[in-house]
Amino acid sequence: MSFIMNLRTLPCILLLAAILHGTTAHAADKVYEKPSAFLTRAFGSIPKTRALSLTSAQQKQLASILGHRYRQKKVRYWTGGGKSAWILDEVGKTKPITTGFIIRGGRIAEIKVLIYRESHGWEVSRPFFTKQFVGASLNGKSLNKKVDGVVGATLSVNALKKLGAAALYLSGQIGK
Amino acid sequence: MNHQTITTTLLSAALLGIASAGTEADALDGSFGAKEETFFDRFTFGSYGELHGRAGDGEDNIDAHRLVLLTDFQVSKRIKFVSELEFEHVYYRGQSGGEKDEVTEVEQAYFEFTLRDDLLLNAGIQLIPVGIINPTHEPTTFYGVERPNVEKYIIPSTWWEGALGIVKTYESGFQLDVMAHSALDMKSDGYIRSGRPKLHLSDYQDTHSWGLTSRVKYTGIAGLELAGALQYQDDTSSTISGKQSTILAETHAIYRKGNFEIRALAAYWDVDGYSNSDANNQWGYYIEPSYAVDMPKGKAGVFARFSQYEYFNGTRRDQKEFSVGVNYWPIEEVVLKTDYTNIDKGGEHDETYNFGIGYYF
Repeated sequence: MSFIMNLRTLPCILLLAAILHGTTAHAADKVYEKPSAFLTRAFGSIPKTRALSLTSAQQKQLASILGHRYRQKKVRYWTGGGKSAWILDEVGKTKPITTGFIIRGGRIAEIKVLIYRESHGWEVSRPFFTKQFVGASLNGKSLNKKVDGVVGATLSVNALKKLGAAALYLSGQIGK
Repeated sequence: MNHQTITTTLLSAALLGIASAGTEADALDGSFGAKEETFFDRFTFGSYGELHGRAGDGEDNIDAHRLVLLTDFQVSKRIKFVSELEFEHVYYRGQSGGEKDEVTEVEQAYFEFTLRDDLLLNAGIQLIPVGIINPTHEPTTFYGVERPNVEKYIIPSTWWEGALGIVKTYESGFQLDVMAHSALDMKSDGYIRSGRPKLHLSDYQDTHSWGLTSRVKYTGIAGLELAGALQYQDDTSSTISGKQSTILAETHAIYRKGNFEIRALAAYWDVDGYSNSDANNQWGYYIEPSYAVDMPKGKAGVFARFSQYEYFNGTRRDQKEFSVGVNYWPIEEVVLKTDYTNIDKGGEHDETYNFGIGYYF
């Protein structure tokens, strides 16, 4: 009897242990599209990774767009077919939102939330929200288009607006 | 080199190529997001608060209405602890004899278990998912110095209980909340706001009351929130024999388009078992259009709110209310507010001018 009970309880204990200890790494992260898949879809294959070394003036402008210092001195990007791709992280409330941008001709051609890690505000990943960014260009340190937010997800909405402006700014700095 | 060797070599090269490509993609995919965390990185701290002043009918005053400290801790990948500690009216002496009104409350202290990326289980002290203000009440998020009175007297914000609940989200933009929780004890007077038990042991020992709240929320269109909540409570009085069960129905909408926003909310209580029939139906609604514009520095918005509500507190209170005012956000995290509020209490008008400063970071 006790042996049968043990057999029955074992899966429950293992499940509880898996939940408690988070044995599946980053299992709570919602991966909408892997960064590699995003680049492959945009370019046919993953292009050579390039890096933009930020000058102090560029770092200052980027900080002005994001509202905080950008920690890295180099930003990776990918190019091909007259467009550039930028995959950037920005914290919504507590965790970074990984977002991919395709920039063509100084405008956002595509935006895709690739990995969302917060438990609230996930609606910003949906096309009804992200499609508002398409065609936006940079106006000073923000987007030139009014983006209607998602009720209850103000911090995540703001994070994506800042990232959109940052991607547009960075794309204009290639070769400078 | 024979055919077998060539085939083996090509196959090995192909496999190595796949492995190499896989490694490159994996390295790329793993290079975004949170880096290795220390123990202290797992804490998130925040705060909000508001200082209010009022003049007009009634007593003029200045009140450090609330100071709230927020602390979250990521216990593991799937478990987060959420807490909210609130200090209210810390310097205000509104009681007879000059006693301070100061209140210290733990408004939230619960564990959030991420069962799946679209399914949460929450256990502990939680906010009841009803209304606009009860779940989201940081001063930077709403117009008016004081919270809307319909969400004070009809939905007794801030309303929290000991609870076990699930939150299910759908890709279509729907969210379903179902929560089992402790419940109100309105004693014999049927006054909803005073019924919040705040987990006082004596209240629970007297009633053993419980409630079940469900809410459906839709945010699948940019700028739109539609929600409806239905709640049953088993016995909301510890001093009247028999069961005083209640049903609360609430619905609200928020819509933002460009600079314009409109909020509307309605709530209705069906209360059984109180001797005074005026307590049996309590209800309220409000509608609030607003318009905000970007300023050279910050953002400013104007609003108007019309409310009507009937609640019971010893006697029936039938009130109509009109407010107009301005919010100014010099930065997103700080708001300065002012409003004029006129409450029609059955022919007697209560006019106040309110001023406030609030923050949330």
